[in-house]
Amino acid sequence: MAELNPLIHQPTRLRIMAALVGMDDGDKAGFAFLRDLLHLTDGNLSAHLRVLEDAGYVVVEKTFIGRRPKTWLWAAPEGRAAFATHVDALERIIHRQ
Amino acid sequence: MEPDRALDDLKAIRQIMEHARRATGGYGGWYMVLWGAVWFIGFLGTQFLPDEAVAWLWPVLDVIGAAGSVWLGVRMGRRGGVYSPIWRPMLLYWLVLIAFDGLLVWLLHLDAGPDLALLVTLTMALGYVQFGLFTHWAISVIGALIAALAVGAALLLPDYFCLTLAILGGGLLMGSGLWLVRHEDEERE
Repeated sequence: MAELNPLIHQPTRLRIMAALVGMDDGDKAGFAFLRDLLHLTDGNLSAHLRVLEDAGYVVVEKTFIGRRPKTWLWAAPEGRAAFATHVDALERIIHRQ
Repeated sequence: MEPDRALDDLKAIRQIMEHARRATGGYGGWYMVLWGAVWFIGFLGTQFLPDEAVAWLWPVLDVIGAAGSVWLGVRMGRRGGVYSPIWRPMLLYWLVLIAFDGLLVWLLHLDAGPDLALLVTLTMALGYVQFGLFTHWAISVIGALIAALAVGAALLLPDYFCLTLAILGGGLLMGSGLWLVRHEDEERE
């Protein structure tokens, strides 16, 4: 049976994963785009991304466009799978009502 | 976990996923405005200019259209802080379609004239129908309308075929492209 994922269950990380999983396969979100979409601060987003990256759920790619640093983010296949399992668990809780 | 909290989480997930999806779409309308303008000028020129001028007009317009499409594709790939690799297969798709037309022209020995104009128009209309299946339904509808318009003009108004395609075909592409641009902007707000 699908169980809630304690890592994704945290509200901010849940929203980060939802945004990244919501994009098409192959799409990458810029750090600033995700920060603005979720109304987070740089520090808050960075901290949660580190947790998700350590778990292998999110890929963080740092590049340069000209001389400006740019950070691209996307959900790893493991992250998509974990997120789907978490959503399954949430739906089971509702249907158990 | 309480069911109410689970429901709230699911609602939040759906909302954010929808926002993210909308943020990655767009620019289909600008393609249609660009190629609508190419059609308008090209077919208007074909109707009224001498053959020697028309022989130069279309290649020049096609180069402008292709360059504009690449520019739009690159912009689409980096829209609003989201990098999307979709513009590469899209570009390839249209190049294959153009190559297909070129092959048919070569095999059937078609010269410039109504047959060639109809073939190109129908192929492009088919391209819009297929393209719309993966992007926005309205693009498919416009492709079907252009195909019907082209066949209707070829059968009923053969002397004014190019003029009809310029005004109605080009106008339809530009008008619906602008509508799509506005619609995409409203969806993102």
